[in-house]
Amino acid sequence: MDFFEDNNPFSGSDNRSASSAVNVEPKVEPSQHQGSSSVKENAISQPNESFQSRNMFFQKDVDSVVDSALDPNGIVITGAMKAESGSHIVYIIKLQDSEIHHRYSEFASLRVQLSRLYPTCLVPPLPDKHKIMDYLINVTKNQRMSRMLEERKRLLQLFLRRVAQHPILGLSEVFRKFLSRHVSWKEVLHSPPISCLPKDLLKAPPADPSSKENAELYKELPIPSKTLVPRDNYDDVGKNFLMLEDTLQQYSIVAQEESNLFNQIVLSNSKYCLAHSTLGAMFNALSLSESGKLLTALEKVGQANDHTCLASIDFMHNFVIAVIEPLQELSKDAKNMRHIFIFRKMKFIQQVMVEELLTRKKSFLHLLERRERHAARLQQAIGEVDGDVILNRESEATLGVNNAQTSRSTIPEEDPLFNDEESKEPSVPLMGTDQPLENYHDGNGEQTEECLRDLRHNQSQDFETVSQDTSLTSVTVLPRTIRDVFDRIRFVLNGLTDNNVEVSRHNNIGRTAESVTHLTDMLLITTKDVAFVTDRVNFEFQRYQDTHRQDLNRILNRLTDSHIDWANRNLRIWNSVQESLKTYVS
Amino acid sequence: MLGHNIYEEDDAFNPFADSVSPLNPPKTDQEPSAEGVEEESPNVQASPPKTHIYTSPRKRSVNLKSLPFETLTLDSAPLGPLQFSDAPSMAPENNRLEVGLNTKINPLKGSSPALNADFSANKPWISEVNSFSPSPIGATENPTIPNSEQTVDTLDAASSSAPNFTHTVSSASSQKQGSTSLTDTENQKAHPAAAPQSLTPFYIQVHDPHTVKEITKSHTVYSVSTRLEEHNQPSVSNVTVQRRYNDFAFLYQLLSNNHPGCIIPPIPEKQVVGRFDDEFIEQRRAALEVMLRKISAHPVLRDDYSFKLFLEAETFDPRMTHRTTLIESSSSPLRSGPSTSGLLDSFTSAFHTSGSSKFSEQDPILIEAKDTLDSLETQLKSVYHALLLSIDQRIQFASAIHDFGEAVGNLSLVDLEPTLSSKFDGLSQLQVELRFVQERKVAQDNLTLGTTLEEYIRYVESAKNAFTTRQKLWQTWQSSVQAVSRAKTQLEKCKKQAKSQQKSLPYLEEQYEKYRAKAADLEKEFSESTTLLKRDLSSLTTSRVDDLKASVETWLESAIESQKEIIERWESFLDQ
Repeated sequence: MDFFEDNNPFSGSDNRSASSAVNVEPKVEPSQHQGSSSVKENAISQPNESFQSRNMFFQKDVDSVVDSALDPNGIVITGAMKAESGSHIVYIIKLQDSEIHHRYSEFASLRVQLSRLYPTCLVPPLPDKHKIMDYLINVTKNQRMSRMLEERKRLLQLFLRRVAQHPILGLSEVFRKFLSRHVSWKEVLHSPPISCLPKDLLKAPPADPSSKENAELYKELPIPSKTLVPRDNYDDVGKNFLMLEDTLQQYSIVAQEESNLFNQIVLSNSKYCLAHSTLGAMFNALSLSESGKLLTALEKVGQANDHTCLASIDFMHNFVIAVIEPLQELSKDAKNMRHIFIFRKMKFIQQVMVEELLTRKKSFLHLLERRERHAARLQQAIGEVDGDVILNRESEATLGVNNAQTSRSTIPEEDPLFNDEESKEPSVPLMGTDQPLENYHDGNGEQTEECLRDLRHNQSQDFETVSQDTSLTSVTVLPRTIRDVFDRIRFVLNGLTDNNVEVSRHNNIGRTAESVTHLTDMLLITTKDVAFVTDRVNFEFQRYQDTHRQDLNRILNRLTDSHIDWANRNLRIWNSVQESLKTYVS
Repeated sequence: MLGHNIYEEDDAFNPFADSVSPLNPPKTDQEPSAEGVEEESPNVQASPPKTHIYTSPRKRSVNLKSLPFETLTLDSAPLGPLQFSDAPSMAPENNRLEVGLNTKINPLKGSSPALNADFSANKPWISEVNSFSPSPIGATENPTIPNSEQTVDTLDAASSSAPNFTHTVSSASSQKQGSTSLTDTENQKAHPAAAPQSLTPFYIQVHDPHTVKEITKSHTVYSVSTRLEEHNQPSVSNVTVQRRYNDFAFLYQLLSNNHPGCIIPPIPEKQVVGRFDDEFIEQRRAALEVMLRKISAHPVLRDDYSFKLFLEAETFDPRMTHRTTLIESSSSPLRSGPSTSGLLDSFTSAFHTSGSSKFSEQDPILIEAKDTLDSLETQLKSVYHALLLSIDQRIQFASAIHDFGEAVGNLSLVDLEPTLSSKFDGLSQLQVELRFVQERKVAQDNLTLGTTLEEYIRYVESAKNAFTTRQKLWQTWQSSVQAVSRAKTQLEKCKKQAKSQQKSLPYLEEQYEKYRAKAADLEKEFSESTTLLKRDLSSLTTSRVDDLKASVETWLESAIESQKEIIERWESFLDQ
């Protein structure tokens, strides 16, 4: 805050330096999140960055961040009022030295954006949105309206404080801008950190979804279906997370049920208060028809019943604030934690899919290389019998028959020579064809790549079928001989129809090799991401457990204290009545 | 007259129909006569010095003779009344003379027989006057029976309970009002001798309820044990009898009829559904015991013959039936009197009866007391209803706590940390214990404040019943005043007639004196009932205040203890 205030009186050149500082920030954030999540290390790393850039204003910003992080209780929602347009209610957020006005939809938007920017962080829940009908009904009843607003203020204040307490969310740039008076929320929504987010978080690095590193690789990541549950592929960590996920779901359901039962207790206690109030009124009426001393005694008893009624009303009010609302919040926290586990599961499945794709591509590449060696060998054979082919072209029937006879006669005679020649020649043409393929690939656009991928996919299916046939022919000698004959015929026909067979073949090999390299990079990135997400989720769950334990302890203590206070008040009332009765008896 | 006689006899038997079991009618018919004989012989043995043996057979013969005279009178009415008027007039004259002789011979001891004679002599006029309203006949006949017994019992109580004179001031004052100067002298003589001794009150216990199953229906029988300790007797008398609910109801009815203007401790209400539940039987047993103890604590009711009979006799029902029969037979000789008046007297009596039916309370204290009772009944019912509503809500609250405890138990089953699971287990057990605390509080509310409020609601109804019985006594008194007027008119008519017709003058004079004495006695009874009602109302107010105060204190005690227990449980949970 001091940074912005000091910035105002300066000249235009200072504005330029401020804008340059903003440009530097996106680069700093990835290093923060990729490293350790400790607040201290982040604090240490930031001064280094600021020293390197030698920017004094940036250093002040760091100081203000540290100050705010140390005092989350300084965030207070002091009031709620209607906006100037009158269409919604604005909540006044007061910090140490400034005030901000925000409406509920902006709070909801903040929570959504924080969830997208930090998919592995547990963002605190918001109170449920009230329906329009609730407002219409409650407009005529001011007391109930004010009660609803008080409840909402209390819950929104708790939301902001919990965000500020989080080690990562509290330092978020978006959260700082939300609490800043000089920045409009609409501008924040259209500024780089949020506008850079992809539509699907699975296509972004979990450490920093707004980062643009390896953007091309992330865009091509496969998206697993939510119904896909390959449990066999899970490791120990994944299985543990699955059990935790089921536990959290069950816990969420039970907590919701407990909250409903609490409401039932409050309702029953409310009826009990009415009954006690009626009893007190009857005692007061009875005292009117009695004599002096008994009149006063019965009147005291009636007043005691009335006080019991009031004490029970206060008890119910404290009960709702101290027990029912935190329980509902715990239920929502359990749901959010479960979503984080689901996100990690999706990431793991994504990695498995990438690995399977890579395995498939490698086998395809291997198949292509084998086909290339076979084609080279056929090429040499065609060169030797070139004269016979030309001569036989004069008459079709005679040429066909002669070609068959020629192929049969040449195979047993020249076998040892073909083997020696094949071992020497194939390396040279492969090396020669790689270079033009790479050049050709660089010139193509993304759409071409997609078309080629489709073709590659179809060819992979065909060659898989061929590989199956190959496995069958290896059993007997006769099918191999027949297959070789068909291969030669096909090769000749291809040679007649397409002069660039060799070029297309080399292109396929190049594209497949590049695809394998691409998938290898994707696998590395995905593996690293899964490891990161696993660490983050473990940390977040540990923090969730600690917070949950503290919250439950607080709830139980408040429950106990409210009951004890209630009983003590009743005890005090009844004791005073008993003493007054003893006085009148004497 | 025969029709009226039959109707009266039916009315006499109707009140006892409930108590007599329909399965054993022949036995009850035989037992009353046998017990009657047994009862008469002790009377003869007990009072040989008071009454000559020679006179009692004559009374019986007179009773037997009166029946045929009445029959002859009805049969010979159209022939000529003058011929038979002398004969019935002679028989009553002889009876009066004999009674007068007895009175002169034994003035001190013979006072109670004289009173009996007076009551029985005046009976036919009362029955005739009330012939147009049959239901009061039963009510008016019943009070006279225990009245004579009460007089005898009062004298016996005065002689036997003379030591109690110094301890029971209120009962002594009531006895002074009801007794004669001779009785006071007798008490003064006995007082110095019995001063150092003291009398222990009744100790009554109702226990051991068990269900008796019969073919048509079942009922519950209670054991009533009575212990009476007197220092003037060497041993302790301890009596245990078996009674059922109808016996208690019959006792209440007898006491209510015997003592107009007296507030009788009420019995629990009759209930058809669920009357054999253990909880209901226990509540009824407690209420019946409270009723008997309060009757024994009442200065007038405790000496009632019916109450003693209820506590000591093996069979409670048949003797009362037999006693009613005796009263009927004793009142029959005077029924021939009204027939001599003819139709004119019947018409006059009907007119006066309708005129005397209006009753307006003139005592401001009683008017205020009745208004207070009306408002008090409304208030008590409202408080009782509110208390029941509070108890019902507390039961629902306990149920909600129980459901919450189960939910917390389910929450502990979820795979959480062991510390949290143990805490949730503790919270679940705590909720179950709180439910028990709430249920115990509900039971205590029912037993203390609920029971007391319900009892005094019924007490107010009983007090209203006392007002009703006093009003009926007033009507009886007014009827006797009418009879006195008619007798005076007849006497004056007779004096104006010629001397030849003055043969019946002594009879008319005696009849006038009898009616006037009857009216004076009734007026005295009415004033006594008024005094008794006022005193009972004040004692009811005092006991109501005390009982209500005690029950409210107990209720506060239970409320305080339940709150303390809640605090202890929550604090122990907080320590975990």
